[in-house]
Amino acid sequence: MLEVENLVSGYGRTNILHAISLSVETGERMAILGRNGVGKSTLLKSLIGTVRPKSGSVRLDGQEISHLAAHERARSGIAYVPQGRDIFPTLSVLDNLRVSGFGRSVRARASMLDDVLTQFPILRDKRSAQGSSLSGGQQQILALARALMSDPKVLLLDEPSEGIQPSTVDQIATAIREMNVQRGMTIVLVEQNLEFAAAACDHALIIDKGEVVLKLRTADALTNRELQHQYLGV
Amino acid sequence: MKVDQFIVIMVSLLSSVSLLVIVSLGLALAFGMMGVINMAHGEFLMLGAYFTITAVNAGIVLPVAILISAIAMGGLGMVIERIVLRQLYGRIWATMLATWGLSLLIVGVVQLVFGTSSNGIPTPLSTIHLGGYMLSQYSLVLIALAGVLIATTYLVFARTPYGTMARAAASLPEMAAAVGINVSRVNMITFGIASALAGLGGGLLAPLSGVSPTFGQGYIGDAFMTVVVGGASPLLGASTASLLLGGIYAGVSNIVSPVAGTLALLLVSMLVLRFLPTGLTGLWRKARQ
Amino acid sequence: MKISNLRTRPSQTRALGATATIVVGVGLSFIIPAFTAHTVSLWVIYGLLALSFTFVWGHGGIFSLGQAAFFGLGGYAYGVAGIDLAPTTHETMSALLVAAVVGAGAAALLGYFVIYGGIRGVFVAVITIAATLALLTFFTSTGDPAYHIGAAMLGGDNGMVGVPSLTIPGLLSTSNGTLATVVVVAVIVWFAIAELLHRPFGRILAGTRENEFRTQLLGYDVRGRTLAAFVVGGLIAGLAGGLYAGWGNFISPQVFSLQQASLVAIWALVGGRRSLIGAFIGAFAVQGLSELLGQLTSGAVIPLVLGVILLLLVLFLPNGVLPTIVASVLGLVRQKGTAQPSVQNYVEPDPDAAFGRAPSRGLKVTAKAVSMRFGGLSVLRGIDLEVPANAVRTLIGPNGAGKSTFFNLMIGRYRPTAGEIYLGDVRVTRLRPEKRARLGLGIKTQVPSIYSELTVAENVWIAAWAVSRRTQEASRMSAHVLAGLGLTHRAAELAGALSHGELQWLEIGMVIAREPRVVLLDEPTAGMTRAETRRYVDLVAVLARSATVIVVEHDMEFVRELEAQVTMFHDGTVFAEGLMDDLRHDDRILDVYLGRADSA
Repeated sequence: MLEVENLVSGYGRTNILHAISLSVETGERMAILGRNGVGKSTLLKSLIGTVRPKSGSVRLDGQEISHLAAHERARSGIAYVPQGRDIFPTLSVLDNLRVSGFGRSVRARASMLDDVLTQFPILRDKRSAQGSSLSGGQQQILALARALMSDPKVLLLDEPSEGIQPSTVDQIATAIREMNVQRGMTIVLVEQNLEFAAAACDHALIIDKGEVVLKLRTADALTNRELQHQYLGV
Repeated sequence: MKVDQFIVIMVSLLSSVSLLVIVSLGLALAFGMMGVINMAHGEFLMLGAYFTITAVNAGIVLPVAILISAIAMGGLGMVIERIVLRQLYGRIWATMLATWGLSLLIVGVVQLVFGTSSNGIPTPLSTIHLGGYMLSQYSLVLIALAGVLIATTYLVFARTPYGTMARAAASLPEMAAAVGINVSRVNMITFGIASALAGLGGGLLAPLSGVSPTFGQGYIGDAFMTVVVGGASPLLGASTASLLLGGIYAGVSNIVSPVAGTLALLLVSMLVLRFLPTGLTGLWRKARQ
Repeated sequence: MKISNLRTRPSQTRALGATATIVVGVGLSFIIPAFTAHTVSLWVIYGLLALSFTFVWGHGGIFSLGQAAFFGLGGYAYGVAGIDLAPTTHETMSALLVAAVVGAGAAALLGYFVIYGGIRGVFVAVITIAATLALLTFFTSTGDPAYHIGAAMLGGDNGMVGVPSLTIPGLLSTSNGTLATVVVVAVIVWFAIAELLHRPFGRILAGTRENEFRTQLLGYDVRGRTLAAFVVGGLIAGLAGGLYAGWGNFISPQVFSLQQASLVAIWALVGGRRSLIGAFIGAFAVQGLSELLGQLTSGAVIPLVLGVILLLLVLFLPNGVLPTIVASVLGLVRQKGTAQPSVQNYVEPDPDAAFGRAPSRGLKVTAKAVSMRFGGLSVLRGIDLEVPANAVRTLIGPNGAGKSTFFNLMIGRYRPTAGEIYLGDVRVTRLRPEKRARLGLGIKTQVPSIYSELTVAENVWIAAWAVSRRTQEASRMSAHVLAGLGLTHRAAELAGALSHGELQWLEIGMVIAREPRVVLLDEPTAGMTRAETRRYVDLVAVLARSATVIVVEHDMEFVRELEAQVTMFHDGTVFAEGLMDDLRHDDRILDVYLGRADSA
């Protein structure tokens, strides 16, 4: 279970998250919805640790992790797919995958690599290509596969559908569900694309001005036009 | 042009190139992978040279002595990263000034331990006669070793887990941390390798000239020029810049004079930077697009 | 208030101090023994070199390690000119002039190359050090007698010998005379630089150092000013080099060595990277210490001690020894004195008072078929936008719609691949940012872009001076703006100490003080509370009385309260335009926001 309590976080003097609290059950698929600038990305960065929270607590399965450095959090079972994907541009596809599994045994790494390449055949075809030469959709799949390589307990995704073709978007939604069902990963998905969020997740938290304002089923969010206007659209 | 003359000129050209590779690789690595400009690089070379002659004078054969110097400098580099550089990441001027302080400190320590006079060991291997010319076998060895150094460094960074992590950390440090890489440990190892390369370079150069506390000064200018012209990609930049600058220096030196060679080197560097502010690496990036 | 620093009185005091120093210094020069005078002369010369570094780095923000190069070139220039001219002119002041000119010329060349070539940050340091080392290599290899200029032999490794002493006709060229000359030159240079820094040039230089892009956005030519500072630094270093060659009758390539260059950094760091007098104190302290060590021990410990000092300084006292001492003494004094000014006396910002009286002179803003590609990526595809003079326009759209790129094209950070942009009737598509600012374009960026190391008052002053170019007028204007924004009580504090909300107001104050005709606001309410957001609505209304306002915003409640025409970007095109209530009823727009737009 991932629990966030009174988390205050931001950049320099600016606080983006004002004492936000939320919890995601183990094995749950949770979408985080809200407009641009409400603090969704900052939340994910504070969870993986590339932004250090100013106060508050983050617990993974009861263990306090808010004092840990990003690489320690990653090794304690959190994986992160950032907005813009952040594929290592000068590394090959294979190295982009390998680099995420170095915390594990050689054997576990090899079998996971094989699994991942089977699940995403496009990566096998492109395995020697430089990360920067991949298309946006391919990079997104690579980012997802890279996260998978560390066999995480919790997977954080920041707008994986952004700027990607519809067919690939469907593929990604399916992959996210499969990871959750087959490997029991907890999913935390930040999204703008409501249909994608609904396809990938069952529940959603809505954030506004750095605070959680609502928790609901994604299916209900899809049909509630008033809510869409108030928190997501214009 | 006769064959022997051609060969001699080619060898002198490749010598210049290999010398630049040997003196600049460590500097280029620290700069390209970590953004650290090591002002003490010349003193690292000098320490490497001192370690080597000390070992040789203690009866160790030269190749082993050089390897020992490299390992010792690698260890020292890691200690320096831990104690000094780590506090200063993100403040470029501070890392430069700190390593500058280090360079003075090293000169001071060496002066106290070894004195200011010049020590030396004889150049190993003999010369070979080629037509009317003489060729030093050792310079042939240096040419080969420069190639081996580039190849080995390439393999370390392309093929080992550490190398993959180091490249990831160099391009996107935050993302690297997010996939579980201990970026600060990677940096320590990278600086250790850069220092070891400097130590190795110093050891290789030790037999060529007398070794004194000002030994590093003789090479540091060339090393900086190579790194500036080469740009941020350590291997590609250092090797292409060495080829270009070494070739031009040797060519002009042979045809006109060494001073003209130095001037030509300066001129070419200025021209490269005027049109490619990020060095030759920028050219490769452009070509790839 | 700190703002009144730009008065004439301190410069009179300074002139008095300078005159007194010259009188005392020259007097002392002739009293002390010749041997001591000889040593002290060198310290003063080194102080001058350190001052050139302090000026270029501490004040100009250029981390130039090439000061030793200009120093050395100045020395060689003095040597050549002295050897060739002195026999006929019987003086060396002309040679000193040549040294200064050569130093300045070399700095102009290198500086043009670096500053206009777009080389920044770490590469400046590397290139200046590489140039210095290249000179070391070059001058070392000029041992052949063929390398001479007139009668002056460059001399290779051994250096140039027989350089004439500093000679003024009618005065003796003794060690005491040299010290007197050196002191006079040093005091004059110090006075000139101190004056320069207390003039608008100095303050704008400080602004450029702190935040180059903001300074450009206020309408200043930052490259020209930075180059000017670099050239002045080269001139001082060249002058010092000339004095040095005259002092020792000798100049060798060792002046180009890394060790020599590192000394410059040590002097400046000991004295403090911003302090002009500190440069001299640093040189005196370090050289004095070296002298002492040389007498007590073998000279070998000197580099060791200096290296340790430099390391410790960088690690523990990056602000310098002297400033740290001064600060702690001042801190003690302040604790005993009056209490800190209360931070609680918060004053509600009143934009109307700050800006309400400005005449209505907004410009029409027009974008015609503006497109932008980055590599293979098309970010903007034919944007047509027309905002009438003094109107408010809100730009909305999901991530990646192209809003930020559009703003960057407006301010001139990029140039569009196609299309034209007009401010009023002027086509600005290819103008540099500062030129657009001079036409009346102002921007409040997403992350507040201010001068955090300058005082709040100085921040606004720099903006105001860009308009009037008159010191008094700028001070009056900035005081007025600060009062209106409720920041008067914080005017003397460093801007970096302000809270997030205050920073936003300060930045808007800088935009206002520039008397803009078009104002761009990029996500102005990010990180603000609801109450603060409401106040911003009033501000926009006030701004619109005198300027055209374009706001990029995601906070739809804020957008609604602005009650302005809204343009929605999507996928690099204008997707919809209208009032907020109209857009609310447009299902296509909701689809875009919810990611169902591919059907549209």
